Amino acid sequence: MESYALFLADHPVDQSILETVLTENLGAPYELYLTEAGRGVISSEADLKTLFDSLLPILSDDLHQPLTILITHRSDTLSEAALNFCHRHKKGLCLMLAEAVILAYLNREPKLTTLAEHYFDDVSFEAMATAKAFVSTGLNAIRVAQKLYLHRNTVNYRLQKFIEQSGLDIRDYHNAQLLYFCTLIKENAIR
Amino acid sequence: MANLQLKNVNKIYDNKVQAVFDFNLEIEDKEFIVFVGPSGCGKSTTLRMIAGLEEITSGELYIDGQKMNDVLPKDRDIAMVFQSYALYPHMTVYDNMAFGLKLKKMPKEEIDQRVRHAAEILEITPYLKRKPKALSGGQRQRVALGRAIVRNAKVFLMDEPLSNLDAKLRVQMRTEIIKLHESLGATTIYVTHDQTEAMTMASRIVVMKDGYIQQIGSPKMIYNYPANMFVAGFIGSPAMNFLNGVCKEAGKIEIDGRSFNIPEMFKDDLKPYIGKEIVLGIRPEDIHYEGIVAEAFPDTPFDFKVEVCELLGHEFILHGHFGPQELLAKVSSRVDVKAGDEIKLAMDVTKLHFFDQETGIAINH
Repeated sequence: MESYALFLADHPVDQSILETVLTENLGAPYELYLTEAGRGVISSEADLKTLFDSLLPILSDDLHQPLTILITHRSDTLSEAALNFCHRHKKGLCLMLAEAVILAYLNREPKLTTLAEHYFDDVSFEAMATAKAFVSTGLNAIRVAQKLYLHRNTVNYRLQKFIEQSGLDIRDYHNAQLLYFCTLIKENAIR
Repeated sequence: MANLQLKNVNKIYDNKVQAVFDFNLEIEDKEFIVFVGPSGCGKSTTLRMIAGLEEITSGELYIDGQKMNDVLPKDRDIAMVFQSYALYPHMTVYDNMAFGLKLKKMPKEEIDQRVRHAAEILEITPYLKRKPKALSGGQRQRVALGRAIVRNAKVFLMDEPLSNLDAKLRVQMRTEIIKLHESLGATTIYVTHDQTEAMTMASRIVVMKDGYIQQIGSPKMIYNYPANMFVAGFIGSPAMNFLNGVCKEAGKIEIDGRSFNIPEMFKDDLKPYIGKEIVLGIRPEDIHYEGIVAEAFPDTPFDFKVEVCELLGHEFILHGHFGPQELLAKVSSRVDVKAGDEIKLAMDVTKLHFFDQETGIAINH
């Protein structure tokens, strides 16, 4: 499954350093885009979280500045806002999008919390209900079918609809966490 | 090599939390300075400001007389070693050490010469072709040190580099870092929460708490003349005993109904505190079996019930109470003692420390 590592630094990042490190250590094809000075994105099928957890300190040392990394399923408004939040409050660390979202909520950060609250507004009711049930049963489609009195094929169909509509494959644990936290935030929103 | 000056340096984060308050320090060329204090005291934040990894909110940093506040980290000529001794997992030891130099487009021959020289100093030449997973923790930390050494930087910054190592390895690596510093002669700033590391390695110690400098001095000075109760309790193991008492008259202290005569050397310092409550400090190693000090200080022996007796080999640490107040004593293990024994101990009153009860500031030094 493809994932994205959005990164942000205070000063321009040397592309050649990043490319050398990724080529030597990733062990899988990747694409690197430097969108502006100090900001960019890396996409790969490889496990970017594990890679950057171990490499980030030494990479920041060779770049001579702390690099903040956000691992996400796609580059969108929520992810960009989460990256900015992490760079302000968790500079030099590698976080998953789900972690950033819950940290923002706990720290009452309004912009990111609002984005998270409405992140799945465009997903249909049935697909959303099935996805929520999928997360609550521990990512077990058979238990979802039992819980919702549906055929397993129907469950899979609706999960596929959720993935298409949201862009989030919740069969992955970290992606499921994102749905879980966004749902919690929406259900507990303080007005 | 280099000298450093930090002038009125403050660090305030966006959320208004202040991590460092008015930090002032001058570091001479070749010094081995240790910042020590509990977690969250601001020591790593200060180190990171020196490295350029954190912005200095206010104040100035100078290296060799040049202001560094707006100088990029890569241009400060500083090498940093971290707690995590992170290495590139798929590169050999040689390539890990050479990587930073390759990025600077240094000639191959010079890279090879620097890497091999550093490997020799660190005694890791036999491992140059190995990858990190084939190294022990201590070897990996030496490679991390090697990455810093090859840069020939003016200043070395070390952020708790031994924290991830086991106790025995920590002791060994401490010695190696000291020897390394002596052979390289590099100005080094070392951060640790371990007071033993600070005492054994530093030419000068900066003790920090809650973002403030508590005291700056040589290990001996900090140990013998702590500026306040925090420094007194933080430096030294086991920690200094603190007993609440009253200064009855010049030359007399009362603790829980027990009176002591105070040596002449302290009387002037204690005059302003006559009739007031003060805190008396005594290190465990300055409490002895009665026989050792009773002749010199005949009114100091006191009854002591041994509640816990810890054998360290050549010494015991005895846990008990002086009246209702807890007391630890460090005594020779030549005399056989066990928990439950009732013995007589005596304080070496020339080694007493006195602290203002309200401020915690040392009275007699």
